[in-house]
Amino acid sequence: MADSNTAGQPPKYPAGTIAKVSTDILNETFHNIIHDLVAKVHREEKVARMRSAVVVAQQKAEAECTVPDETTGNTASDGKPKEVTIDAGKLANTRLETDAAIFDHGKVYLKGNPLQTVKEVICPECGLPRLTYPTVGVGHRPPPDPNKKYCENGPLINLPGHDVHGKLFAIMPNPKKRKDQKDSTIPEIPTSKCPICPRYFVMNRVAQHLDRCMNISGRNLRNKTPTDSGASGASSPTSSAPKRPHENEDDDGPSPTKKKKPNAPKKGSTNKPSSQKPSTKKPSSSKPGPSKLKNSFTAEENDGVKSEQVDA
Amino acid sequence: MATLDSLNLLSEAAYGCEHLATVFRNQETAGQFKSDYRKHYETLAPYTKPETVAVQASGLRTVATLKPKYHCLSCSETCLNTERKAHTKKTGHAFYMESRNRFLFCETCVDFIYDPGLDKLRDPAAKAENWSKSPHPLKRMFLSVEDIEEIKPLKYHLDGKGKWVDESGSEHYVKTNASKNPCSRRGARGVWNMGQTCYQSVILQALLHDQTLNSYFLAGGHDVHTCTRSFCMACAAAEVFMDFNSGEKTDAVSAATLLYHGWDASRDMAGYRQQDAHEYFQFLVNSLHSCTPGHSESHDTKCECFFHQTFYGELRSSVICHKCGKTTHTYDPMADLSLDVQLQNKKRKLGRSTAVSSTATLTGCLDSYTAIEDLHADAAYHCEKCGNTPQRASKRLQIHKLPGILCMQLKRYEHTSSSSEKVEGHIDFPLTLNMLPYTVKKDRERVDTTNYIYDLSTVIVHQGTMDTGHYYAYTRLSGDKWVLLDDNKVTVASVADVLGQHAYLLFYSIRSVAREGA
Repeated sequence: MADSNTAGQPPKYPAGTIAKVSTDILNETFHNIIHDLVAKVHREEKVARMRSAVVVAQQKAEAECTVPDETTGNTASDGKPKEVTIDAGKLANTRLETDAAIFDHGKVYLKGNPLQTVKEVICPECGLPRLTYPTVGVGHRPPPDPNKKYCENGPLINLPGHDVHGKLFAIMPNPKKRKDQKDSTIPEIPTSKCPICPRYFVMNRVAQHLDRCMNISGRNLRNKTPTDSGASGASSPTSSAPKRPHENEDDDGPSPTKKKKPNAPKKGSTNKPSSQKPSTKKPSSSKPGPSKLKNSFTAEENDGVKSEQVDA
Repeated sequence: MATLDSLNLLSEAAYGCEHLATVFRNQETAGQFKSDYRKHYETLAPYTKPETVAVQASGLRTVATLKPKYHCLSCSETCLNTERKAHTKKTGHAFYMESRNRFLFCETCVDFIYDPGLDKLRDPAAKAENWSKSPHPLKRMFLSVEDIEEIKPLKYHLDGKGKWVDESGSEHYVKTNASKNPCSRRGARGVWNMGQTCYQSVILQALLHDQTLNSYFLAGGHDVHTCTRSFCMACAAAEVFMDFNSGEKTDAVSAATLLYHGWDASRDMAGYRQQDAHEYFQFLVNSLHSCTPGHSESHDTKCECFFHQTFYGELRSSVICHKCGKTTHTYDPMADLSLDVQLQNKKRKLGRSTAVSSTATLTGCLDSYTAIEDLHADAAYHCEKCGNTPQRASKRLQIHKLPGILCMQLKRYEHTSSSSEKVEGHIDFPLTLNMLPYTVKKDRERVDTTNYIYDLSTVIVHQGTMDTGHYYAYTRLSGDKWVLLDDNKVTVASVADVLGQHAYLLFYSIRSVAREGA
């Protein structure tokens, strides 16, 4: 089908033939596809420029109507309307012009075609210019003005090993490294508090712990996790002795050999059994247990984490 | 996309261009122009041809060209791109409507113009102007947003009839009360995998990137402060939505509470093990529905809760008795469509050597889903009219009501007597989908097809075997930007990447609600 369209010179067919009709249909269909694509991009771009023209005009008008306030010294600061007092009455009566628009009594009228008059797309939300190209990764270009601030909502970054924000992927925290030895540019997988008990876990271990903490594998014995053997069955809600459930849990832990053990049993002491009581609706916020626990786990939070997640 | 930037309202120009401004300054010409615009806009809508009429009356039609035409707004003249200038010179009519996208063209500017006021007129919602006068539960919901920090104004509402309405009456309220959320690459955030919870992550990603759900949760549709339900799924979901949209953060969000509440609610879903994402989707939607105040569980009355209106459509199954021709309809709610793909794949396997054209397609799956199938006599359909005797009959499934968010599952399994196997293979799915052919539509009616257009929003892919594997999602950010969301990792994806996936779940969202542009 496509070969009738490829040549530089379109082949001529006599009118009234099937060949003529089919090439015409094909050509015009291609024409329409291209037309629609261009129209879509045109709309996006023109609307963005229209808004930019409006934002620039508004910024200018607001700058003129700013009430000089001695308490806040930074009246000229951008993007922080809260610290700037604008004389609303004056603003409503202001009339001024920019290259692309006229600000008149609070409304903004366009002047000419914004595709020609507007050179830079301004984010309507933060009022900062938007970058057209990413600064790193595939298709990157240096920013037009390295000292200028640009809108954070820039083009997506496509760089191997990095996410669209240009950040490296998070890695498992290394328990052997001290905090000061760690490379601060590489993000680590954060920890999250168990919704039931006050212990913290590296994010990708939360489900495994929650299973044990909710005693699910004990409830219906179809869990396949190898770490859950007989111990979890024993840690029943009835065993309300504060410390026992936690000992069980640490036995289940993938790394029972870690040196920080002595701290662990203390942490969840009173909270573990409460998981089965329906009354504890929001254990995460309302019942974190005695303040002693809180202190203990904030101090040893990282240690507890490390002992939990060695083999991931 | 994910967030509704009604702040754009603040930065809209008064008119599309200077020439339009002069027309609109004069009351008389403005009214005339608007009615002309409306009239042309409606006539140029892509209607379906009433089938019965088309065959008889028109027969052969002469079509001069397929190219876009420019309809003069002032008279009935229709021009091609090349003829427009001459017409304007002759008559002085300067505004045209282009036939394909129904954009306005200003010959004085020699460019398309996009007028914010007229764009509002385009929506059928503009007709429901008096809506804001009536006290409506959703209106109240909108006004209660003050206490939420990350306020995202609700742009669309459901009116009483379940139609979406642009709430321009509250524009002023939004302007004066909205606080700005710092700019960031919106929606490009992962969801942490908490250990075998990628089934939850992908479903959440599909929902987190939906405008309607964002407006619901961020505008306090589910009030977490006053909710007294214990283990409330909607509270947990609202927490994820707020976290996801909060400020400058770019790292992944945690859905631990949602997981906890979900495990508490359902034994089937609970536990440290892998789950089917489709089952989780159904579970999540269902439990969100039952956490919503005012929901109804009874089968007799229709549930009017937000989640029902958003996710649930209605299927009509019709059975025709072959003997007496009596048709019986039954209507069932549907949260998603589960489409069989086995047949298509088998066909593909056989036909691989001979024809390439037998690629499985989503539209093909939908065709066979809504096709007429014969019920065998021994399948015992008892026709009431024929005195409750078993009769031969045929059955057909059709969509009676389309949901705002349409989830489709491609059943990638093959069951044999001994085992179940996952079926690999590509099934073509489109970026935009017209659902009209699969609905209960009368052939004689003229229907505006734009109301049936769905846009692909999320593709969920399963990698692995029947029992074990990994889920990841591709989703659309604003415009045509696509990202691959693999748990906490968010990377760029091209449209070609997306369409080349062996999809398992497809999420389409209706277009007439999610207005393009922005």
